[in-house]
Amino acid sequence: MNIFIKKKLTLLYLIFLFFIIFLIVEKLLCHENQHNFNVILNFSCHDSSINNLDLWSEGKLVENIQAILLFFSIILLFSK
Amino acid sequence: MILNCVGLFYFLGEEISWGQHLFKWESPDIFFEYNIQKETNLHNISNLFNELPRTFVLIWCSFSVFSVILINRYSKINKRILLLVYPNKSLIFISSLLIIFILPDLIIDKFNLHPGHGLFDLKNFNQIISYTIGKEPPSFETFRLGVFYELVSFNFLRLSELHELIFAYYFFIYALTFREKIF
Repeated sequence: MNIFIKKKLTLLYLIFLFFIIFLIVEKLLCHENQHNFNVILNFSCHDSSINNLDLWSEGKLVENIQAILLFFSIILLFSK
Repeated sequence: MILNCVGLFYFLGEEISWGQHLFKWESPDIFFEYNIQKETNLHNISNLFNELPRTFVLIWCSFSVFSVILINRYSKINKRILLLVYPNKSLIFISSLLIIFILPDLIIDKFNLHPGHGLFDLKNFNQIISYTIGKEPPSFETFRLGVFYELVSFNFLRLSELHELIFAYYFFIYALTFREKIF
């Protein structure tokens, strides 16, 4: 854990990378593969709330994360 | 730096439609008439407010760090300019990630390799049926090729949204590391 605290950039990159992978996998498996459910997909997509999150729509998670990141970027650049 | 902040402010404002997504107000008549999505923003009105700044940001986020590092090898660049362009070398990671998501789509698009966009929505097989009305249906190989290109180019995602997410993350890390170097 100590190495992550020392290298916070590494931690930030890892979180972002996992987030991107999650977004891609969620879209690919839950939204583009609806005709080919197997047991795991059925559990993780069809029956759970993941499939109803609609992460990529206007004003949903992906756009909100963008807005939050940009907001903090401006704050960081302006604040002393 | 001021230009950077103005750019970020514009990006943020457009992204949340200047607050419309938060406060849910009705778009003024002018936006209702000219905006494609009927939202209070400029980037859905004209390419001038969308494609132009997007291309500039895309070039900046993808290639600025690589270019400056390369140029700095052969002729020394002023340290202040270096700090302004890349306050931290780790920005290369985000630039590389962005290039990974841009290049396949760009190559497929420029070399016109895709057999036809819109036909290959992976979940909506009805589109294949609609294609057959009055036209010769694509062969199974063509369909498979289309699906392959959709996957390789990440077009099954909302690719422009993914690019924008990576832009936003780039600017966040930029601001974070720039601040650390300055203060």
